[in-house]
Amino acid sequence: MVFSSLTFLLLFLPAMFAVYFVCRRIWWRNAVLLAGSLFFYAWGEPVFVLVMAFVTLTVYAGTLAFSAVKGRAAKRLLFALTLVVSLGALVYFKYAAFFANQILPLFGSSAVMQAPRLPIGISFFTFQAISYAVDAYRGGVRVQKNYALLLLYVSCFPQLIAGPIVQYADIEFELSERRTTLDDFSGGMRRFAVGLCKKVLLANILGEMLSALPEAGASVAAAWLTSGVFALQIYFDFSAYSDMAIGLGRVLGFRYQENFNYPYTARSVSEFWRRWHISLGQFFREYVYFPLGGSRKGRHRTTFNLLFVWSLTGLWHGASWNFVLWGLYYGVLIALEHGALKRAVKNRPRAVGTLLTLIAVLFGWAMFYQTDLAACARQLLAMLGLSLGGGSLSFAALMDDATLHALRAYTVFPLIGYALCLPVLPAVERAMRHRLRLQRTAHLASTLALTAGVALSIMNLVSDSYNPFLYFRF
Amino acid sequence: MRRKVAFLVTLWWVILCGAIGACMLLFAERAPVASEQENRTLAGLPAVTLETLEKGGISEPFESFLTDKFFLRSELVDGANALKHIFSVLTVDELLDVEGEEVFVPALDESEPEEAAASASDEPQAQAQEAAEPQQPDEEPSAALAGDAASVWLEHRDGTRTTLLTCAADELETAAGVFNAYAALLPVGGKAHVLLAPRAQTANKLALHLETESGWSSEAEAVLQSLVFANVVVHSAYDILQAPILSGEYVYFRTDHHWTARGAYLAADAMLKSAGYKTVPLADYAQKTIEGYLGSIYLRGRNAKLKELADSIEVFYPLLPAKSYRVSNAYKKNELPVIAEDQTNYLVFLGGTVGPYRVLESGYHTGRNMLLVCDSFGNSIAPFFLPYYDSVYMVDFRGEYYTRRDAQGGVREYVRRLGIDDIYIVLSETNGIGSQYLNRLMPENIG
Repeated sequence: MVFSSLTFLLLFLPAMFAVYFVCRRIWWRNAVLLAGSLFFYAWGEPVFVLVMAFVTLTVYAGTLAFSAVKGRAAKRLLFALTLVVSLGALVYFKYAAFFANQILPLFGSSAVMQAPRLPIGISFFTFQAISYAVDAYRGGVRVQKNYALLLLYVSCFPQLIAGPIVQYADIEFELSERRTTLDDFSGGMRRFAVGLCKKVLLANILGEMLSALPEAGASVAAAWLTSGVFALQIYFDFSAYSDMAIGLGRVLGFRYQENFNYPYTARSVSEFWRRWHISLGQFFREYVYFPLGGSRKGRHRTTFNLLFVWSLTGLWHGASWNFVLWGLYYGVLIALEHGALKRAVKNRPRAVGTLLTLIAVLFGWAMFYQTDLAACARQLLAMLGLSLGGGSLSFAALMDDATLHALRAYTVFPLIGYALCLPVLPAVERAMRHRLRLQRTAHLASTLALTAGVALSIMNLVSDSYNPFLYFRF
Repeated sequence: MRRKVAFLVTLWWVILCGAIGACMLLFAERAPVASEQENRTLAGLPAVTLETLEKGGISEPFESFLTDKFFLRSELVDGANALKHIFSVLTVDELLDVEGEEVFVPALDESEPEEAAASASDEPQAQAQEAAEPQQPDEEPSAALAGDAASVWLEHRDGTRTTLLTCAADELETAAGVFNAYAALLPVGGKAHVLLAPRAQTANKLALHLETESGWSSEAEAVLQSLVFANVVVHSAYDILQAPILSGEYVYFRTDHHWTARGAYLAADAMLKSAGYKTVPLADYAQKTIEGYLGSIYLRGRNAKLKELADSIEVFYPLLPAKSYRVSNAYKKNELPVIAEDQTNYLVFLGGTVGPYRVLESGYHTGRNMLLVCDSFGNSIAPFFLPYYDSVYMVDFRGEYYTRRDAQGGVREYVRRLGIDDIYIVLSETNGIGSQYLNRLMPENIG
């Protein structure tokens, strides 16, 4: 089920809240939440509920087993087995066909493996399950002996299919003891409404603009605009989902960590990734980069670790070479920022840093957006002002008719998008709240704006029908 | 206090959403409904079966049901699109040109398009040869088609011209074969009239730019005429409508892809005159006007700028009280309107399309019947045939309206059983040369 759908807004959410808040005891609330979450997932992919239940069962049984054994070697073996089995589902559904189709031709085979249908959110719930297993192995969290509670942690509907990746330690206590205050309810729903408006009023319309743009190699303007509009669309789309998840989590009594912090204001690529999809960065840092030695084992090993982790980050986004390329691109940039360019990055003026980071990120989005490597190359060349025609390089046209038409049709939306990428609105609201006289005005204005935003979002949903989130495919 | 207000506002929203959702489930129309306004079928409540649940095939159809059957949908979509386009700097011309494609859903199974296309080109010729009264084309096809294609030109006041449409030679030959096949169904002395009308998107390139455009011309009709039997008359809508458009007559809507009733009258008048009838002047018809009409071009993009170009619909009443009925298996069924008084859009003409066939009974006693093969352009032209025929039968083969099972017989059988004397084929350019309507649906439903 999609948060930005009428099915969710008009039926699931009100019914879920009604039943959830009628229950007073935490046991009943957990039962309602688990049943609702499984229904939420099954609405789109009923069979794949079994995959989720299997992954959870694996880590449940694995953690119980390795916590019960005494010997260190046996414990390690069981832990490794738990990881391999729980990752098995992800590897099979997401990567098996990709790797098989790379390897089979090397042995002269012309067979092609068809990729199975990908369970929605498999990357997210698998990583959550793994984070629990690792933390339990390290002794960071207590082993959960109740399978239903562990399944609730993995399947809890606000963060189930597009994150943020919630670590078990963060909600371990709340699984057995949580309450919702009036502030939690209204604050959480406000956050949800902000996310809904971002998704429906900005991301979806920017998506329409993106589809109106010509093939990215058509002109320099088309190439840059494709990257620019996609940068906005994916930001508003994904951060909207995180807003909605965090808001709903708060209503239900969970406190999820922030997943975005105005990434396009970052002054370096490293900082960009500390502000973008924070929970994923944290996962790779804690469960891959640090165990590999991080930056404590010399310069070369650090570079290797960075490239390895960023290749995995790329692959996590999809089984395709463009994602690997995209991951490596960031690995190289971050390695440079930590190594050869460390001083330059530190000393450059803030505005220059932000601008250069933005340009680097836009090149990155070109690699991410174009899943076909040839199209990716055409867009990257066009961004550099070049065009590859008939095997020779030439200068690309600066502008084309279709791009101009798209610009004329959607004129202000990219501008609004870029303005909202900056922390302007929170700053204004903060400034107003600090002045006692303006507090009430600030509250009223934001309430009215959100009310209008939700009404407009529903209007748009009625006219636009199905509009899944971009990060569902990861 | 403020916390409680915030909580109550939030709670009110959640309850409102829940109430709307519950009302949707309880009161919304559950069956799929063909929407002529949106040119598609609005989704119904999907059937919940074990199979659909197992395959996860319920979520998208259910969402479509909620969006399509949402209360005040039309107004909400209107509002949302108006807001979306409010800052757009596109010009009205660009909007009129781009946002007005007619959606067409073919009736026949799409699984074997190649076979269907093959039968489209071969069958009409074969059927024409089988006909009782073989009538030969005026000229040999190869001599008529000098070039590879026939074009429709928009002529500019500076003496230059640009191409509006181009029809390939093989498409023209296929179309001529279909027209001949229909003409071959007629009894001796019967004539088939063909008129392929431009849509408003094409016509308004001339009508809305009279300061720069001087006219239009089409080569297609002359080529077609040279390919068809002697009892087929191909009329050029471009020739018929040029002078009225140049003199500023309101022949096409601006926000809708159809012609106006005035445009339809001009086309009917030209065809009837060529058949030898002395026609009734338009001024003799009683008339009413519906203001503020926003048609399909507007509805597709619902751009606020197009709203300013709202049309008016002139409705002309039949001279004698006429009656209309749905026809199935060549028998009259339920009564339908001729002028739908409750409609304020293009549905005012006959109340929209109803299939598989329908008949307009004129109240005249001429001893002649006609069949109008048409799309929605036929709805506004049909009443103007009434003074010259006892019964005007109509058929629209588009999938939303026509099923062979409901019709039971093919056109051949209908022509025989209903005593059809003349056939008029009036189609918009969307369903004209090279279209699935003409190439597949018309030949495959002959009989």
